Amino acid sequence: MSELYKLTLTEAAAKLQAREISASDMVGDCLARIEATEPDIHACLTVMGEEARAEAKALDEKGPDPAKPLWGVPVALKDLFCTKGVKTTAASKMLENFTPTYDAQVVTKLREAGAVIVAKTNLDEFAMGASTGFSAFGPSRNPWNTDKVPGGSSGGAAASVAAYQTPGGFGTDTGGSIRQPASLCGCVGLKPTYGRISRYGVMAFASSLDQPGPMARRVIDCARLLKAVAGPDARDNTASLHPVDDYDAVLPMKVKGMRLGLPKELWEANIDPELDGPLKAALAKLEEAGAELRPITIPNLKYSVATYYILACAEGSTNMARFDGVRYGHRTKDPRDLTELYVASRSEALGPEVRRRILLGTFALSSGYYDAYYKKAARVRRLIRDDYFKALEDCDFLLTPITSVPAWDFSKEHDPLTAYQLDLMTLPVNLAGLPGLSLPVGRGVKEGMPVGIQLVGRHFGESALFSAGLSFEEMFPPLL
Amino acid sequence: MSRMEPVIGLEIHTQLNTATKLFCSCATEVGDQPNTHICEVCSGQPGALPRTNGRAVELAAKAGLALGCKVNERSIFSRKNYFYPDLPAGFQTSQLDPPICEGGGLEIVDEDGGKRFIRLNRIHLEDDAGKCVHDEQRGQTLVDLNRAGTPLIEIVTEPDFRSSGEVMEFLKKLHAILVRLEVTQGRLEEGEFRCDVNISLRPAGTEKLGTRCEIKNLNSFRHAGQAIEYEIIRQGGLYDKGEPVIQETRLFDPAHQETRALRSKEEAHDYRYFPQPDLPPVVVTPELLARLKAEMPELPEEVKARLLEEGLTAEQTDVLLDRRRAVEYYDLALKILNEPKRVATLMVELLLPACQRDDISPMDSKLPPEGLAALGKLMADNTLNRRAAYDLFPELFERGGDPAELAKAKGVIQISDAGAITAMAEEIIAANPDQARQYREGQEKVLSFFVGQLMKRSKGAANPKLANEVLVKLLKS
Repeated sequence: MSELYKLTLTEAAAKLQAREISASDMVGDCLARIEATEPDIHACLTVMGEEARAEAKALDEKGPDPAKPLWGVPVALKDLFCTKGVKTTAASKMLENFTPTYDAQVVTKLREAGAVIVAKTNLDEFAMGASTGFSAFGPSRNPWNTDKVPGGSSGGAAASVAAYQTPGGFGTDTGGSIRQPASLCGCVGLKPTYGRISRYGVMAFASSLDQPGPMARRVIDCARLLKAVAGPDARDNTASLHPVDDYDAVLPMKVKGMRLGLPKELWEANIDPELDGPLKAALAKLEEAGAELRPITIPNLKYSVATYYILACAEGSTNMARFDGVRYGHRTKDPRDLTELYVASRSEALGPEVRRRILLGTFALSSGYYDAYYKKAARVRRLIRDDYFKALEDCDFLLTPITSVPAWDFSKEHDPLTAYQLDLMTLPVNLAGLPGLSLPVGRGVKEGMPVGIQLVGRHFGESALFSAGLSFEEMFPPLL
Repeated sequence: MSRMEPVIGLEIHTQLNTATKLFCSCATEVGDQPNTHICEVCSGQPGALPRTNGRAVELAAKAGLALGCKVNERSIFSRKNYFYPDLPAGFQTSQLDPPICEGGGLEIVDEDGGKRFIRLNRIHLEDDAGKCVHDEQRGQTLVDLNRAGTPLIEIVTEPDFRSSGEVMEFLKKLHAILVRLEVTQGRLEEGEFRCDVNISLRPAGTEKLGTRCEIKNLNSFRHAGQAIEYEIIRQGGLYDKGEPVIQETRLFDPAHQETRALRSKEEAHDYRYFPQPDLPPVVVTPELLARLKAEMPELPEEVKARLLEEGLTAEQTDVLLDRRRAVEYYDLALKILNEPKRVATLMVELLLPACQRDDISPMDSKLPPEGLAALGKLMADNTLNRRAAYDLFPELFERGGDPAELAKAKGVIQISDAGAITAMAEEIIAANPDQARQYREGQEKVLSFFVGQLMKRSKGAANPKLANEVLVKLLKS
């Protein structure tokens, strides 16, 4: 059988369970596809060819198991998830040769569900960035146009799914790192409610904002992936006990009467004409189908970028402290003393964006500045969260763009401040801890790059979000 | 020049008595090979997350209850950020605001016999760091993370002390309470109870505080006292010379009986405390607090009063209170044999010295409280005389077993049968006519010779009182 790699995750899972195809065939075909596309895309930092083939073989020997819903399904993981015995780099020189001693909870759960991890995908170093341009090992390329960025920080996972290397994968989202690359690459991506998926074994950027999430070519595929990994974890005190629904059993929600809140602050922002047309067309189509479009305001939204960067950098600066050259990771050669060991090891091995955020965060927490920055930001965060929760009392979902610009050229990377501003549409959702689903609604007017839209759901409202996503998918055909 | 008065406050770090670390399930044992009790959490591996040990929270709350603190229903962990090789995550997880316990205090008796109340500021939970071992020969520093993540409470007092004697009295009393509550094992030599001293001087009768120094890591009561005495003289000397006291951290060197500067305030860290986002708030529910209150054992003061009332001597009371789990043993033995003095005497004279020799607690000895009570009972009903009982003890301590059966097997059951003793006494008197004559001629101390002979003949089993009576009667007849 040929071109198995083109199957969606749900199709592949069904064929594998029905023994129409073997795990080895499926995994082998994806590995071949990776080999064929990697020179152009560079989505992967480590391809686990040998391990994946051996696992597939072992699965085939035992045969399919209905209790393992992802039996034989190849998946890609952002190289931020610890994999025991397999190099995990966070796209940093600091961890260029780092091999974890344990598996992340997502990895354990995926294996329990029968999935086969085939690749560790590229990202901005320690998930700090929005294009994979800050990967220490070179950027990934957008499969729609290799002159353009795939977005980030989970850009490798998005590019892998969009290049049909894998039917699905996992990224992490701290301020948009799943939703934005999914949108720029024409995939579907979910940032779940904070606490829906255990963060154990996911290298931390900002602990109170980070959340792993699925990326795939269909909404239902994301639902299946979430179902497999969601739930409490004794090793992560922030993982929620909230019951895990049968996300993969949801049916499309009626669009007629669906109350969609449109935050004015986001829709009236300066949106690139390349996206503006397709987005407005999507709104018109939804209205025509009977959706109730309600312009709303999120009063504190204007503070969200500042709030986010203070909190995320503050947490990030101390999460990065363990990379000190003492126990693992890069260590400078022949330091004169302890201070030089720290300063040189970190300066040599951490990239510019990570260093910038460590400095920003350290400043925000410093004696004399704490009240003005960190403490105030923590208060504003609560206000923003309250705004979102309140808006969702009268609306079923909030509907917003994902970005105000389409995938940009490598030659046109943004300055840091502009880059931070570009997270405006996605990062408030992390501040509020709510789930956000990114899915394609069309293509750019001139360049034809994918255009995505974001549905924001209620706290632990993933089922409703998938249900609405399925009806959106009927109205706006998948791009992949 | 007016008299200078010392103003002293303490920060006491106590290791909590838990089987596992504060944020992972590694054992808290000491003394093993370096880096054998570590995992991804306590060695600061990327991606690892902490999870709070509920037992540690309970012990901290228990300490707070015993010390009259307000135990907060909700407190939070914070990250205290600094770099050091023994600190794997680059931050210590501690508590800033609010801590688990606030306020409270402890009454002590000062040198003049007056009562003083030392106020506590707070008690907070935190994890310990690892240990750096400097290998001078190879010019290397090695890191052992076995201790990293061990649960501690830090008890912070107000600056209420005015002398080293008060400090030592307080430390002893606090230690006894925490050990009694089993909040800590309190082994000083393992650093399980160590304190930092903040001390400054000011002219007596004034309110304004002088510049203080902090003396770090004192792990014996005596050293704490000595360090304070030294500091009072050192700082006093500076004032006399009109030189300023520099705010700094100092270490006490017991060998030279002096403190030395470690680092000054200029080099002090900015710890950049902020709420630890990986951990939910620490919650002590009213239900948990009620349970802890109900489980609260008698405190040392209360035990002391009770033991004295039960008729023990002050010396016996002090020994029982001083040894770990001795009062617990005593109380259990008393349930079987309600003779406080006899039980206490057996413990103080036999059991506790043997336990001390073997470095075990009486509760861990092979002779359980029931066994000691049984031994006492045999003495009480005259089945064993004192000597026989004391002779049996070593074997009971080594191997355990039933004292009555052992006594029977050894043939040392006390002979209280007047007929049997009379028969033995008659034989002995007949065999020693000279001594018998001496006695009758008035040398009464010869009686002890006959008693000795009789005890020997009876293998120590003769009732000594009866033996005395019978011998006197026969010799005088």
